[in-house]
Amino acid sequence: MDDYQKYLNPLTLASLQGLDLQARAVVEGYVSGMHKSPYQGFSVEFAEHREYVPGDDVKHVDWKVWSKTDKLYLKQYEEETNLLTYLLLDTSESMSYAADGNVSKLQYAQFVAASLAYMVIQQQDSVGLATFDEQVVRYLKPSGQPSHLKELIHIMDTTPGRRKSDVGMVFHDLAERFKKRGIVVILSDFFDDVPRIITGLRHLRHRRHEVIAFHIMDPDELDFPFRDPTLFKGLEGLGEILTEPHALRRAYKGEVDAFIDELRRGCQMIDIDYVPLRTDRPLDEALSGYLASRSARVR
Amino acid sequence: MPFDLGILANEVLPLLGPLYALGFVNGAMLAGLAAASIPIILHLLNRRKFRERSWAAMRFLMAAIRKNQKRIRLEQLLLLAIRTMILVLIVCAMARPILDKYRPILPGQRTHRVIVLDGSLSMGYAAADQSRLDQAKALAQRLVKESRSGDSHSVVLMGSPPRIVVGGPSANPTEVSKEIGEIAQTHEAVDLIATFEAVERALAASEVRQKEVVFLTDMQSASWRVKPGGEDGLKRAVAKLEARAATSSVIDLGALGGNNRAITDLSLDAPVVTVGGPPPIVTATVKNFGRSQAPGVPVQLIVDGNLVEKQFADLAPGEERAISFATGFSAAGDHLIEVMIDDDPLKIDNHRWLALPVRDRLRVLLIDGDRKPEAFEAETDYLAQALDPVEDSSASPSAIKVEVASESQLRGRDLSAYDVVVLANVAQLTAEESGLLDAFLNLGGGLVVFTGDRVVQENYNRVLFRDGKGPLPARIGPTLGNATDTSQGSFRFDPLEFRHPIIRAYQGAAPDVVSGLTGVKTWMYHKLEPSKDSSAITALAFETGDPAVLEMPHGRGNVTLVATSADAAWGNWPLHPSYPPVMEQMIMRAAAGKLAERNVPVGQPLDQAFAVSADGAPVSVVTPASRTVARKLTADGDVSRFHFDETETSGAYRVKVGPPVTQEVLFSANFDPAESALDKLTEKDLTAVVPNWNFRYFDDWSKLMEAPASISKQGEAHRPLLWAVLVLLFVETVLAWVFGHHR
Repeated sequence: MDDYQKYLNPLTLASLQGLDLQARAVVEGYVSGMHKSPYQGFSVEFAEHREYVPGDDVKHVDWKVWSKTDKLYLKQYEEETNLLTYLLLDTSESMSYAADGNVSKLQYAQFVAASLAYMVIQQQDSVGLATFDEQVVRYLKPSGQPSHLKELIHIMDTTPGRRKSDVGMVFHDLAERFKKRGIVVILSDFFDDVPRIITGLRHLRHRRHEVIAFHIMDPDELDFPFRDPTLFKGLEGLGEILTEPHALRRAYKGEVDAFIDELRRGCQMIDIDYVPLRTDRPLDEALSGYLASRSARVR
Repeated sequence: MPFDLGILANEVLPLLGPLYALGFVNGAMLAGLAAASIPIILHLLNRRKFRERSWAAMRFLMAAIRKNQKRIRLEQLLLLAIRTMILVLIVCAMARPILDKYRPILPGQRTHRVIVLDGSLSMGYAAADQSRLDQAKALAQRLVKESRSGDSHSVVLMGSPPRIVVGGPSANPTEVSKEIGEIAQTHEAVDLIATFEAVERALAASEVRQKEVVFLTDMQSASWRVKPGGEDGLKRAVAKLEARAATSSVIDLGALGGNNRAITDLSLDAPVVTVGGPPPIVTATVKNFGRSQAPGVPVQLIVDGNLVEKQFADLAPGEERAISFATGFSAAGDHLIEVMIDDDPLKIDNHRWLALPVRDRLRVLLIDGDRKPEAFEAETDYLAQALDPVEDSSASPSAIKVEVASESQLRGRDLSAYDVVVLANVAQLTAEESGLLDAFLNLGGGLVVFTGDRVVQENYNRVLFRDGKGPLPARIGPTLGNATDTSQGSFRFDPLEFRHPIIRAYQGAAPDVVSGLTGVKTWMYHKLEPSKDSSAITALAFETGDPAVLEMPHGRGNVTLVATSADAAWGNWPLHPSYPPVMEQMIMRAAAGKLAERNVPVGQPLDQAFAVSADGAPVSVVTPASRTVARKLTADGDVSRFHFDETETSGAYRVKVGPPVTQEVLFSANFDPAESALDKLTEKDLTAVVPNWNFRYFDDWSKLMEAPASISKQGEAHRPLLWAVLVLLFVETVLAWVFGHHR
């Protein structure tokens, strides 16, 4: 079990080949660390009897009742709640940024998305996937079939990030597409105007989805550790800037902190779980965030 | 060899106003200023050498730049400026800049150093065992001892006049130190202009380019001042000194104490003292220059070495009090009067001397221009009777002995035997007679001239007045009034408030006594017309405003001219009681010239004329320090002259002349009372007193004793520059940390 836990480290995980294997390693590593199986809470429980009518599956007939009363009654179980989980993966160009010796934000998001998908399907829930940049790139409807996982991973693996993001617009689009309510898991750096993002999220909430916003940032983007004069070449076509980073560090961090703070408060206002993620941190933080939200949904 | 940025100094620096001219010892090092471009080049290179990085969070970076661009640029420029300045300062320090105002003495070059010691009286102030002059000498000797090999020294003593003790610069420190050690305290004031001129002459005596002047002084206000009107002279002297490009330093020898008492004046109430005359009143003025009460100051009168009288004076701070003594003299000859008070830290000014020639009787020759055998008919009868009233009587002889001669006898007389010659209504004088009178006046004799009906105006004006150059105080003008018809009116005297000494006795006298002078009627007088620039003083006038009696010094003697006759022909003055005393005073004052100049200020020469026959006679002078100096009389026109200028010490100078003429003459020299005031100048005051003089001021002489070489090192700016570099390095480090790491 301990061997699995090391796969919570993004760098170790990156050494594994195949996102499906990586997802399984993450989930197994995470579950082994919990000492208590999450599956126990999902056993099927008896609810009531009803009289047999022709056409009913005989395997559900309560033979003990038949032996006593000579009537056919069916055991009726409480219907299992089939949760829908939508994974929204930002594949815009900004997500391709990676600090030296680190995984990219997209890679990290893929780990998280794959792990969640794996876990969801293991729980016999349904999971869907949408990748987006300035628009929805791919959309795979939710399904609980084990084979669905492979398809999900394939889409995630092959989606390149090249364009800039328009998160707000995408959320509006998806809010219209998601017919059944479920848990919407967003994996993005949210490099867009916060009010537009919040408007989009509000749309999702309006459709009564539970939303978890995984805000994925690279440690470079948070700490701005550069010293030498640097020509910053903007991704998503944002131009170039030559500057001395050490002179700007405080101001830059101020801007980033203000952005994060605004996003967090926006999420809180519409009852969205905001989970900041650094790409140099273990993945269990992401899974914990998801599970906490799911259990709230189940209750 | 110092490298001067001549063009910079000549053309640019004047535009910068008060900034000091700048020179560099190692001017070639200034080429290193190119290194100042290194930070700028590095800065530019750094801007070209950068890393490239793809960046996602551009929106935050752009916002940060937008808000902080100005600040960042300012910080970068500030650091760039500091780094550039550090290099500039280091290069400048290596070039060893020199501020011209404080041009230092540079090692490795020969220096001609002029040491100027303040030799004035106040330098005798000794609060402890050592006087200020002793301190100055000790420091001067240290300076000489610590000088570099090859340096040469001159030594000037500030005084009045200043003395060049070591003129031709001496490269022998032992010799110079010995000369300094032998400098004696003078009792003089300071002639500041002459001192600067003497220093400039001393500087001119050497070809050595690097020159330094070091003044060692107590900064006494009285010493560092110029007489009114002397400002331009001082400016010229200072300009000449500055033109020598010498480095000047003033070393203040410390605070002067406040306690000093001095005798500031000693005088007699009579111009001439005779054995038979009334005892003169000796008046000593004592002043307390201190800030505390001086109770019971003993004031002693000593005559010829014997204590005659002692009085006590209580002196408040700053109080000046006159103490009077009456003393008679029983024998003719020169007497020495000394007044002294008790000792204080400045002992020199506690004594004052008066050399007093006491005459047996004054000898007066009356030349009568209208001699007649009948009593009181001759021109001089009244005058002779007034001056020597006891003639032909049994009473004690008068102080004045009168001889009467006719005008034809003037040429045959040896005038040197007389103190005063009176011309009374003498018709005219020949050029030879006029020459005799000139010689007589040059010996200090007195001449009194009365006019009258026989006087030939043209002759007097030509022979005696000589357009103001002769002995006569005024041109003899036309007569006014009528002596033959007294009914036409008379003229009365205007005593001019009795200001002149010959009539001062009437000041405050009873009206009936005063009327003895103001009631005099004059029927006729000559209008006296002094020249415009005449030094003649009107002693008595007529109510018309015309002078009645004029007095004027001439040669070494005094001349008195009376506008009317000596007898009763032109007025009734001889019949009035005021005539004898006024005539006596007139004669006494005329005679005073011969006895004058026995008392001189220290530093001024002793000067005495003898008959021409004494030319070449040996003279020995015994100074107050009991030093005997030999001199000779020298011919000077119609007299033989004794001249002695080594009077730097106050006290009695005893002069023995002869043979062939054997004579002893007593002189005294006294200090300038201004020297007793111990007020000091500050550095700022000195700058005001001696404008345009660039000097460095040192007030801690005791430290300089330990490190005299530090005097010469002032003006080198490289040390402050290196300190500035150190400070800038620190500032740069702090700012770089703040700008770079604290973001």
